[in-house]
Amino acid sequence: MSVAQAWLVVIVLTGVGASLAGANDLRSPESFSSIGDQADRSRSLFVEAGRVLQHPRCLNCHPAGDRPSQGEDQHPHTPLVVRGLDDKGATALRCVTCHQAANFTPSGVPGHPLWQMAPREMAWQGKSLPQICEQIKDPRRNGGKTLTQIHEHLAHDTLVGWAWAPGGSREPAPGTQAQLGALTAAWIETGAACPTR
Amino acid sequence: MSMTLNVNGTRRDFYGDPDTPLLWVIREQLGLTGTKYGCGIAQCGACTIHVDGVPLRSCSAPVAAMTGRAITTIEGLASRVAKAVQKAWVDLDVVQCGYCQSGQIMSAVALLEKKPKATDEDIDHALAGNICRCATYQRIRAAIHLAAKRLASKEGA
Amino acid sequence: MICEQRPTLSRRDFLRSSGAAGLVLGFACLPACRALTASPVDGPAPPVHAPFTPNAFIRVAPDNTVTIVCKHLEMGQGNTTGLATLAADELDADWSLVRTEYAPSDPKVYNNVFYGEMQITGGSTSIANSFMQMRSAGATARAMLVAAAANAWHVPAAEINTANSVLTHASGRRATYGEMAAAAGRLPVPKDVALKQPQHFTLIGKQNATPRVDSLSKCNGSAIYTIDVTLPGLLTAVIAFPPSFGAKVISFDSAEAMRVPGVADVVQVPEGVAVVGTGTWAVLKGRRALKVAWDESTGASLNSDAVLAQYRAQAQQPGVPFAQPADERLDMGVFVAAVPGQVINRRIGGAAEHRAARGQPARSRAQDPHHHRRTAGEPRYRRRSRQLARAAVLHRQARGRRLHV
Repeated sequence: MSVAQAWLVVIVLTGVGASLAGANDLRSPESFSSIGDQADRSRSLFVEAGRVLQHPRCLNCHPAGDRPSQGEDQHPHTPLVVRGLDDKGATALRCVTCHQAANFTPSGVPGHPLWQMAPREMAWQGKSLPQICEQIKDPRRNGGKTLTQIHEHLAHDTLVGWAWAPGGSREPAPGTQAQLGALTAAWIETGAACPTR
Repeated sequence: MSMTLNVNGTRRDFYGDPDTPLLWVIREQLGLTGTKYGCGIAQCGACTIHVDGVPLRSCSAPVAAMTGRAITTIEGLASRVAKAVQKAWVDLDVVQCGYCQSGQIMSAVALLEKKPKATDEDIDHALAGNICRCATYQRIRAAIHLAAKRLASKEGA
Repeated sequence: MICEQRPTLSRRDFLRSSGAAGLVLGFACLPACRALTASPVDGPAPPVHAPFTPNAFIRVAPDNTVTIVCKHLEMGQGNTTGLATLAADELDADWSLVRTEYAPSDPKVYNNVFYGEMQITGGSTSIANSFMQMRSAGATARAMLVAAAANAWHVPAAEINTANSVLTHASGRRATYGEMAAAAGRLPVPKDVALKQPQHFTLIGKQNATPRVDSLSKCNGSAIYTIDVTLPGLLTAVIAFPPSFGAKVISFDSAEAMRVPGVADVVQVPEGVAVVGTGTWAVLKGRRALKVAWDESTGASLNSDAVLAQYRAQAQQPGVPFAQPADERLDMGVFVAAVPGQVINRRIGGAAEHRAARGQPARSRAQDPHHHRRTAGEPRYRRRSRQLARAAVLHRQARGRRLHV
């Protein structure tokens, strides 16, 4: 095979790979390079990341009220559970009463060592993506994090990572945590602009 | 796999699949049938036990996760709070078929151990996951209040 | 308190024999009885301390406890306590000394009197059908105890008082029921003993007089439900049910299921495919590993929306008159809501079925235990019993009714 033929194979394979990539993959930061304006590019990167942030796997534990939701359709969690004083459940019905350190196939209950609800100030349900974006950037509402720490959280936190290995018949969040991390890094590099709608 | 469990203060041996839900180990290998199977998917609460004093749904936990932890089942309740709860349950004729009551009592005891002055809302939130087909809920609530009252008074239970 | 003894007596044992040697009972003796030894000189000692059993519902023991046999199934509705209350009131028994026990399967003796020769619990009839029967049983026992005391003390029976399991006389004579039980056991059983007038009830209709007898065992984990029963060699089975009503098994592949440690067999049953083995977890895992091909074309094409549409259409139809009180006419729709979460958990012992097939009492408990004995003997169940080899059948939502063995 000549070099040209080899490159053709590579290009074709890449193209095939790209089309085989399902709707469930996240776009790479590079695929936004065609957007000339940096702020626009930044906003678009966040919109792509928003496919994860607004997925049921994440939204279910980021409710506005005291009760988490459950399932693809985000129905109220059964049994009735509340965040309690520390976001880890009511007295005598803690998150860990049912949710163990790992997904447990025999009961179908998902798990992670740090299972809990996001604090109230990190509520995402009922919020638009622009609002979620502002919230994530606001140290008063994001647990005092810098943008670098936000990236670290999204790219490496294992509870966040659960969204891609939820077990059972739960649909994982789109793409992979690494892809989300890359998008977040690129978003920060391009000025961390928030979408306007 | 083999491991040693601490159940109701006694060391018990377990041999088998590490992924076995704790419920079946308790019921069938250890013969403690007071803890009940109602759904197996953490929806009913009949399997509720205490691990290190905190309620756990034994259908949802693998036995392998119990290393070094203290398991208490309904048969092993012995604290002052537990005795008061069980006595209130009997005094108010709470039970009907009784199948859910082991779990109800485990949750109620855990609640009063941490919140001696549990309010109606505390009871709602703590026992929301223990369902009762006979609908003894009103009497459960009354019994928790009665136990709390007796524990608070000088006479205790 | 629920009795954990397993009575082995036959129906005949409940009938009184009035031989000179006194009543010989087929009961497993209470500890007090076992303490007696036969005299080597006179032959076996008469069971002087045997419980007093005037009828199928009452036993008075030398230790002064009264055991009341309840012919109905306790599902939480409290009829154990209610039936015991009826007998205990007429008997003038001390409620704290009352023990309860559940009747074995015997529709000739323990039938629901409203339904003929059927030993069945249902229709809210337990107390109603037993009301006069249990009171009569208690009153009869009391009359015999009084007669025995009258004989022993040489006083008229009418002068003897009873209260809280104690017989007393104005002269100061006193005896507990337990002390008088043996003597009462030697007397003929009177018929048509007069019952109390309602104004003399001490337990019936009295608030808080008779706390539930089954509360404590249900609060401390000691109450035994069907699902809790263990027997030597007992196997457990779970059934893979079809995904829709009426669907049929086309084929199944049990290879992977059989490789699960503890799984003993996989067998098709009318309801689906059963996985049989040692221990519930093993068979649950086995069922997960089972592959079943279903033919859903034969099944009802029901779904929630279709059912709701059906209900709405039916609700437009005129109803069927259900009851007609004096002034009103009540119409009820023809559909009745199914009861979710109910027990579908049966202990089907191969041994029990074989016994039933031979006409001997089986020990399954159900709302209609005799039905289980009849059907247990049917050919298809006998075949299945061989296959299942003393399996206990668990429904997916097995919960278990109270088991009384």
